[in-house]
Amino acid sequence: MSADLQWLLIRKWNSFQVKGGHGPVFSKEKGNLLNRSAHKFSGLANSKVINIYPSAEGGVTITKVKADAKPNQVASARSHVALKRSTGPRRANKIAAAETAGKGYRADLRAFAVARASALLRAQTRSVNPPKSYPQKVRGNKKSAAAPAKKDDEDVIELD
Amino acid sequence: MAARPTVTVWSATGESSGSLPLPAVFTAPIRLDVVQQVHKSMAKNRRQAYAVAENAGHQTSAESWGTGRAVARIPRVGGGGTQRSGQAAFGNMCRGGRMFAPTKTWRKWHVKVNQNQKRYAVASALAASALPSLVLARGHRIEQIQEVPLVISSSVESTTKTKAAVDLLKAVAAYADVAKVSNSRKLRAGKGKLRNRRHRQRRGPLVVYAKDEGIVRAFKNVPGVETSPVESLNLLQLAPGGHVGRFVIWTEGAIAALDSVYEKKSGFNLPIAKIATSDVTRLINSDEIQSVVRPAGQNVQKRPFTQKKNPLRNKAILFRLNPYAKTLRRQELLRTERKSKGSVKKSVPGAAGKEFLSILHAA
Repeated sequence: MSADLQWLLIRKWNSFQVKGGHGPVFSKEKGNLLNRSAHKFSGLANSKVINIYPSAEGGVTITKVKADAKPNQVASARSHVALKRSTGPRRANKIAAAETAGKGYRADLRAFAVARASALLRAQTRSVNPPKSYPQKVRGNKKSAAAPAKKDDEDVIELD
Repeated sequence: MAARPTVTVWSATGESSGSLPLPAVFTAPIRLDVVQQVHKSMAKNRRQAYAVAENAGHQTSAESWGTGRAVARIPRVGGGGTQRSGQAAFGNMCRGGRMFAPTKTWRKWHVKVNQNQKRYAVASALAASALPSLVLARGHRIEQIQEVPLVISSSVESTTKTKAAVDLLKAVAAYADVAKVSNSRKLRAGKGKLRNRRHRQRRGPLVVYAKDEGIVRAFKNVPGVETSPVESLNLLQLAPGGHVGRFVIWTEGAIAALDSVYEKKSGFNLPIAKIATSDVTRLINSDEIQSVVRPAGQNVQKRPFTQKKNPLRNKAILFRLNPYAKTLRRQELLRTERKSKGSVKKSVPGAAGKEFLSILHAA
C-alpha cells in the first residue's frame, strides 16, 4: 500500500498524536524530525524515513530505511549510522545532511535533519566548568523558623 | 503482475525456517469507515441490561390538590405529621420523583450487523495488521521484530507452559509489546473497579493458531496476549477500539489455512482495491501519464521581496490588473488632445437659429 494511503489511514488517529490545545497537532513517533503531525514529517507513512536520536552511550544515531527493504520488513529494513560521542557538531551536521539529502533520499528534510542533529549535540555538550549548585535561598516564614537561634546568640553577644 | 509476496516463517528460536505465499486477504482494501461502524455495533452486543427499579418514585399515594390552593397542581403526598406530607411527588422535576422516561431492561441492547459487512471489516483489519506503519500507529512495540505479519512455525501450537510461551515471544522480539502491557496496568477510575473490571491495560499481541494443542493455556496468563483460532477471527480482537493494526502473531498452520478459510465463506468474495496502484507519485511519473502530458513550461519565478505597487498610481500595474483601463485611458488622452486642437464636434448643441426664435417669440 502506498504511503499516501497509509497517511490517510493514520492521519486522524494514531497513538503518537498529541492533539492538546488549539495549536498545531504534534506527533511523537520515531523518525518525525519536527515532531509535527504532517505527511511530510511522518515517521510512519513515508517510504523513506530518517530518524535522528541520541545514543544510549552519548553521541547521535541516524537510522534510515534501506533502499531494498520490503514493505513488510520491520527491524531488518533499517540501517543505522552511529556517531561517536567525540564527533563534533560541524562534522555531525555534515553527516546528517549527507545522510538525508544524499543519494536521492530525502532532500526536503535536509534542514530539519541538521537542526535536529545540532540540537541533540548541543544538549549533550559537557562544559569544562559545570555550574555550581547552591542551596536554595530560604525566604519568609521558613527563614525565620530555620534560623532564629543563631541570631539570638549574636544578639546576646552584642548586648554583653 | 508481480509475483505473490511471501512471508517468512520463523522457528521457535527466532531463525527463519522457510516461507509461505501471503494469503490474499492481506491485500484487501483497508476501510476505516467499515471497520469503525461494524466495531461500534458489535461492541454493543456484549452489554448487560440495566434499568431503574420498576416502581422507583412511585411508591407513594400522592394526589394533586387541584386548583385554589395557590400551589402547583403536581401530585402531593397526603396526610400530615411528617416532612414528606404535602411535598410534590412522581414528577421528574420532584425530589424523590421518578426519572423522566425511566430506563427499561427491554431497551434494544443489541445491534444486528450484516454478516458480509462483518467479513469485510475483518478482512480490512487483517490487511491493516500486515502493514508495519499501521501496527506501529496503533501503539504496538514492534520495532525489533523482523517482519509483519509475524509467522512462527506450527510447533508452538503444542506449547503448554507459559514460561516457554514467554521465551518464544522473546525469541521473536515480540516481548517488548508484552512489557508495554505490564507497565500500562492501572487501577480503573470509577465504579468499574467494583464490577470485575478493576484494572485497565493496553492490548498486546494476538496469537492466531490453527489447532490448539496447549497454546491457548500457555498464553493465557501472559499480560495483554490474546489467542484466537483462525476459523473464528473476531473484529473486536483485530481492531480493538475500532483502531485497525493489531499486532498479530500467526502460527504457520494458521496463515496457511487463511486462504481456505476465506474460500469456505459462501456468498463472500474478498474485497478488491478499486485501483491497483495507489502511489500518486508513481502514477504521475509513469510512462503512460508522462507520454501524454505537455512538456513542462518555463519556471515562473516570483520575486519574493519586491515593493508592492499601488495600481491606482502605477499605470503598468493597473493595466496588468485591468486591461480595459488601457483603452479607457487612451480614449481619454485622445479626447483631451482633440479639445486642445479646438476641433469641437458639430453635434454639440449651440444657440437656436434666428428664424426659430422669431417664430417662438411671435406668439
